[in-house]
Amino acid sequence: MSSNNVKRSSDAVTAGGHGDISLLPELEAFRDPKSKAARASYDDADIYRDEKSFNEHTLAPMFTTSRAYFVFVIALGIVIANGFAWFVAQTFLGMGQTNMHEPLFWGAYIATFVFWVGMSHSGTIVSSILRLSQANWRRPILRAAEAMTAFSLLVAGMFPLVHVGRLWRVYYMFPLPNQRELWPNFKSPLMWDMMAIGIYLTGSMTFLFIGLLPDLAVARDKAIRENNWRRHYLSFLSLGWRGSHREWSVYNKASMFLAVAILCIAPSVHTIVSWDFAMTMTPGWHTTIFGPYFVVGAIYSGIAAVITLMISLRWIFKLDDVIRTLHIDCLAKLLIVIAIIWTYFYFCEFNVVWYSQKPEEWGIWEWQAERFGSFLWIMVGGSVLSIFLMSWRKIRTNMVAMFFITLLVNVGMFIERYLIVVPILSHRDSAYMWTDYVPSVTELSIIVGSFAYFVLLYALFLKLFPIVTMADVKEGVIVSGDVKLGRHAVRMQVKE
Amino acid sequence: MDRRSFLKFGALAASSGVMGACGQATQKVIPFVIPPEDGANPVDGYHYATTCRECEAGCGVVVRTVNGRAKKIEGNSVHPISNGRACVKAQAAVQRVYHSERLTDPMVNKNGKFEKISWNDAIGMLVEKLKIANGKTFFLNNGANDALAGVVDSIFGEKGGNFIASNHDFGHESLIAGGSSLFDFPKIQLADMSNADFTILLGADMNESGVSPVYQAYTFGQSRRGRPSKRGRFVYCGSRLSPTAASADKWLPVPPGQLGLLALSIAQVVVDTVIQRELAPSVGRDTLMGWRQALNSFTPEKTYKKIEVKADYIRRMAAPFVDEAPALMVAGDGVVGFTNGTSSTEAIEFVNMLSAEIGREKTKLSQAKTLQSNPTLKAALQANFGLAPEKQSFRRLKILTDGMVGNEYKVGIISHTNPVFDTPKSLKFKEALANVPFKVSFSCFMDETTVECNLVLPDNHWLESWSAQLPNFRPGVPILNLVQPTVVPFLNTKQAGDVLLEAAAKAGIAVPAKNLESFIGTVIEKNRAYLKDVPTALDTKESWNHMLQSGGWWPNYNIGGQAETPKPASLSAVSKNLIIEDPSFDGDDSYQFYLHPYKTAHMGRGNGANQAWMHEAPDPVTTLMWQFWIEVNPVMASTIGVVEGDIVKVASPYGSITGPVFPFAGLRPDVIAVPVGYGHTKYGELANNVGSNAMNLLGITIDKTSGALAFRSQKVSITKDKGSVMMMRNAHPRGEYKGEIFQL
Amino acid sequence: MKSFNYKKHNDYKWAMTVDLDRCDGCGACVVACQAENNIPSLGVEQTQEGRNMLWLRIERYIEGSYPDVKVRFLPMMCQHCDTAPCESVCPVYATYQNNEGLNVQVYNRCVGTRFCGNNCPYSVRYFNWYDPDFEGKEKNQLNPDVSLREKGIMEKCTFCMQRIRRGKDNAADEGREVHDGDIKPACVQTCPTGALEFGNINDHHSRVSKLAHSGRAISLFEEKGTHPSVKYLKGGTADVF
Repeated sequence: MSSNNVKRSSDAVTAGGHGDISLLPELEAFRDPKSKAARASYDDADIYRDEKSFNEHTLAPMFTTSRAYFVFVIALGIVIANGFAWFVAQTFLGMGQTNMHEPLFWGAYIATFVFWVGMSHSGTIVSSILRLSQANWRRPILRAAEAMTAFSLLVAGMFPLVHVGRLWRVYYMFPLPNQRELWPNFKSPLMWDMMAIGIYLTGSMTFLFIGLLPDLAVARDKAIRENNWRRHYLSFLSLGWRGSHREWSVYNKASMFLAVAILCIAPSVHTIVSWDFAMTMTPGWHTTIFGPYFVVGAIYSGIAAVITLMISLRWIFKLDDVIRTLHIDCLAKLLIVIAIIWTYFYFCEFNVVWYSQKPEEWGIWEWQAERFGSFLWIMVGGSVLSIFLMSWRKIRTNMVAMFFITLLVNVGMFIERYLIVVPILSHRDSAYMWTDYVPSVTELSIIVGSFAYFVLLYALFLKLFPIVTMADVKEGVIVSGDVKLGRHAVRMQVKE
Repeated sequence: MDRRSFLKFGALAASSGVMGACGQATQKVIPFVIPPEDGANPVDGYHYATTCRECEAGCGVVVRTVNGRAKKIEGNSVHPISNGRACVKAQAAVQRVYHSERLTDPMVNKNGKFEKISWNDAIGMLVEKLKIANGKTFFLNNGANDALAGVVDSIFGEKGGNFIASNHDFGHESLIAGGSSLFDFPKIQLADMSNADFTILLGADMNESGVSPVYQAYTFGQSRRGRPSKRGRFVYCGSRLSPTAASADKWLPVPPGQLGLLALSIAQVVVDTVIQRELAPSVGRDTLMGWRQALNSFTPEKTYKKIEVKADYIRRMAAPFVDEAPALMVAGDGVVGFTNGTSSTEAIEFVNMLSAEIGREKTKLSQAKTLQSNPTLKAALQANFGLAPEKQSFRRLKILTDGMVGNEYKVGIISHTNPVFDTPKSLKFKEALANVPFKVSFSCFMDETTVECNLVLPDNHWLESWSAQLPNFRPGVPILNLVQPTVVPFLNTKQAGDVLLEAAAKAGIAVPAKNLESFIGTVIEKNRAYLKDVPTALDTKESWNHMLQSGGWWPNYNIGGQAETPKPASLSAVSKNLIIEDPSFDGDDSYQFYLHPYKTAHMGRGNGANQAWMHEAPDPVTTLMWQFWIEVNPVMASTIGVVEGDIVKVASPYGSITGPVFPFAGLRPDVIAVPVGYGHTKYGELANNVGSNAMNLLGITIDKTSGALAFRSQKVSITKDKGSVMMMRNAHPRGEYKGEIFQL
Repeated sequence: MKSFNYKKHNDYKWAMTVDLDRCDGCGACVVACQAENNIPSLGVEQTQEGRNMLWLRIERYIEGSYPDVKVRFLPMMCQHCDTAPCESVCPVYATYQNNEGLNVQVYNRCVGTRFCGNNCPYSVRYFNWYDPDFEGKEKNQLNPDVSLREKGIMEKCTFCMQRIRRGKDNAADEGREVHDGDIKPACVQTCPTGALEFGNINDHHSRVSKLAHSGRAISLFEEKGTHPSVKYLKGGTADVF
């Protein structure tokens, strides 16, 4: 296995972008073994480790399990079981267990649904953008990001089920052939939504799976070698991957194709989620900006979540040398761009309403400011503050700071989703029916349970599948190396 | 499974999915979403005409029954009072029939615990007690003029220490007395507003305290938009902006007790104008000059201080009473709740009569072809189906209470009334009742009074009963209402009239008939000659059926058709009555606020409190549900330092109540308005412990002329109390000022 | 013998007018609606949650402050819009427009996404948060023509569909079209002031048609383009004199 890597290094070598002479002092330093450690925390790829130890190192989170892990999983299980119990109670007793009431028919569930769909956006989008643009630093983080997409979509997909009044009739929403020849109503944004999320889930799951294949094979080999119980499913799932040239070329084609497809699907998915709101005639929702605004918001929260997750993984599994400061720094730069775009969209949305002062729409903003003022400050203030803070490289490369900044961003984004659903529905056209809403214990338990569910899925994934994109990292190692140009050794890259 | 077969299956699944999705369109799409038109025909059931007994207005209703169960109550479209309409109480009456807390069996009170007994034992016990009492029995009803009252009157009468009283709506005595001094007819004068172009509603809340909510609302609607190209205008005067005031075009917050003065002030302007313009009313110039003399001290300028309505505005309001436009004044609770209630009502009716007498087109406003057109019939019906008005005043209830304290009664019979709850606490009815050795209650529900009784005899609901009833007011035509059973009693209940007749017969008292049904039949048979519009050629059975079918008897009539204006008994002699004394209030200077207890359409005097529908339908003005409240003016609320939902304590010399405050802009700052009917303690799960009973605050202040309780004469104080509660309001507090979004 | 094909499209278009000048907010219609349509009472706890189940509610608005204060009533029920926003968003066709202009709710089809309720500008759709509680003797009162709704279902005013069908059936049995006034929803039938009228707006001689085409008629939220079947007749003059 993996012997192909060596072969590929002998392919034609062309000079990469690093041929600039101004880089020379840096490269000197780079070659100096003393400064290696200093650079190691920032640099892009580990070229000083042999393949075997690299495999062992990156598969360690998968094959070694501490006691703390079990405690953690059990704790998560309890939180999930609590949420599930409330969910069962809600199903049997009725939706009255929530605090929703007329005319606030959607509440915290839908807000959380939108949040999770948003979370799902970063993973695959980031991964496919980076794949397509061949950003070299992307390599170690792909898997973690893609897994996040898949799991947050799974969690998000749960929420419509939690939300509907008659769970036992939910199959009416599927286009199942039936005697009465009744089809779902494809005029309804909810149907589009279901379709879009279904496609996105399928796509991103496939994307995740295809990307996993070579690494599964590595893990399989290790599992078989060590007679680990994981060999059963690993040998099934790795589909007999041998690392032949043909397999690699199909693999490359497939992942390229999927990257393109996902890149097209992902914005459409969140646009459609936004249309759940924007297609209605509810003031505050009925606005053209919602499509791009949601997409940007989704990517915003998603990237922040990827960063939070990376830092956590890095910290928990001591993967400092795989997930490096470089990655966080690059992601943070991306985050700044997205944050600026998001803030701009938010400003646009506000500005139009503020200037026109249309009573039913401006009323909602006043209502928000009055009743959700502190929330608004956390959201907008958090966004502006994070843009401001992340402008410093010092902060971008400070893991602790980034952890809290990205957490703040996601808290803000959760609030944003809540503020899209709740104040607008509690301030409908008919002033008599205005209302106030605070989520009930049932709702909060299920929502907290959903977070635990996400973390649990991720934790299980960590133990069942390789979390670091080993093949990609190795590819990066193989295709870049020091090449002597005259007196100087220069970092070269192979164009794929 | 190997990889190849997995892929094969995958491909198969995918292609079949695609094929399925691309399949041929079927011929018939969505066949059953639209229900088949010829499918199950909705059950129509049977419809019976009867009379609503939720209040004493006597609306004809039609009850729809399916499978022996009453399903829905609608107005009887041929009935002159209801005109096919029904009010909220009638609509909710079915819920009382099938109420889970209805009394199922006769019960006897053994040391505070009620035990079920058989009807035989119960009637035996009643017979025995009646024998022992040998007179010295009192009977108390809810003010109904029905066959039961007639039967009781004829069984017990006023002989041998027996006493009959009724606990009916406060203030109606004054409405009767005030009207009858002018019209010589002991019924409430209820104006038909259908033709009025301009109406001044003086504290007349149509829905809540109105004598007949349906009739008044119907004529209101007719006046407003029922006539081509004419729109009736309404001005409401009173301390609180009630739903009726809200429907009027203008609300004038007149101080409590000054509405009669307002009427006299208008009368002054009217008389003055008539004399100035040299119009020639039938009363003659001398009388006019006499009135002018009498009204001299009521010019708008002089009364301004008391009624707080600008002289200019009074003049404008008076103008329609002189001009061509038919104008009307209607008296209501806001007038009769004070010690000058009767004289105020007189003043109001005087303006009406004066306006009708000025020689312009007769507007048939107070039309009434009354029962008096046939004295024999009137006497017969009045005697058999009801009590004389003088037996129904509050003063008489007071006499009864004093009598009970003096141990004058051995047996008490209480029928469908709850004086322990809905009379002022200071009357001490409950304590007095304890002095009566044996008390029987005919009731459908356990309530505060029934709990005090020794024997509880569950009565049929009126949907299961026989009765005949006379409306408590005078509509345009004479009406005899019939109440017939529309469903068979589904509990072990018996009708109060039948039980009383049976027991009295067994106790050796002379009874007029064997049961209520035959009693009604006999009375009607005797007077059939007078009931002209029932075809007399038919045999008894057929004419009886005819009456049952239409729900009673009344002459064929259309509004304004046959009606004639009643002759004023003594219009020319009225001038001596044109004095309105100042209202006197109970409570010294430490009590700064006027208490304004008012009935809501839903709760009534408290009957509605055990009905979920009544709690669930939001109160029209506050939109509160399932809740009690105390209304204060917002300015006053901020003076006291309370916001909506804060608990306040309202105190009078007689007691105090607490409740959440509801600041309401439609209330005079010197008035505190409290809905009655809340604060039950033994009226079932839904009613108990909801709010406080405003009756705890009232003292006994009586209008001396009519003997009515002046229920708005109490002065109270208000202080902030501990805590606050969530107000269960249907309207959002922020949204209720945003009506302009509708651009109406 | 049914000579009249009353199923023919556009024979009937049911409409209601609400005369705001007549409405005195008495609430008889509210209870009549509850009695006719088997609408459960939700009780104190549910009311505290802010829930209510008033297919017909009387909205109350306050204008001004003491003493120039005006309280207005606005009966609000399903407006049976011709272009109903609730219909297009339902993913399962549980609500649709029938050929008589009624906006119909199919209880059995509803899965309870509550999207329709969000898209209704009038907020007249209600949701069964719990199973209705008709216990014991109260069952006797239930109207056999109207189905009970289980938890998780949206419901709303139907213009008393069952009465419309009965009226049409009766007319069909007599071989005639439905006359004006034959069919009255519970609220219209009970309204003491006569503020509510109901009828076939396609019949130009019907009362409702005349009122709806009078100068006073307006639709609520006309700018939303929902084309409601309920027309409101505007109030009177600004002041008495």
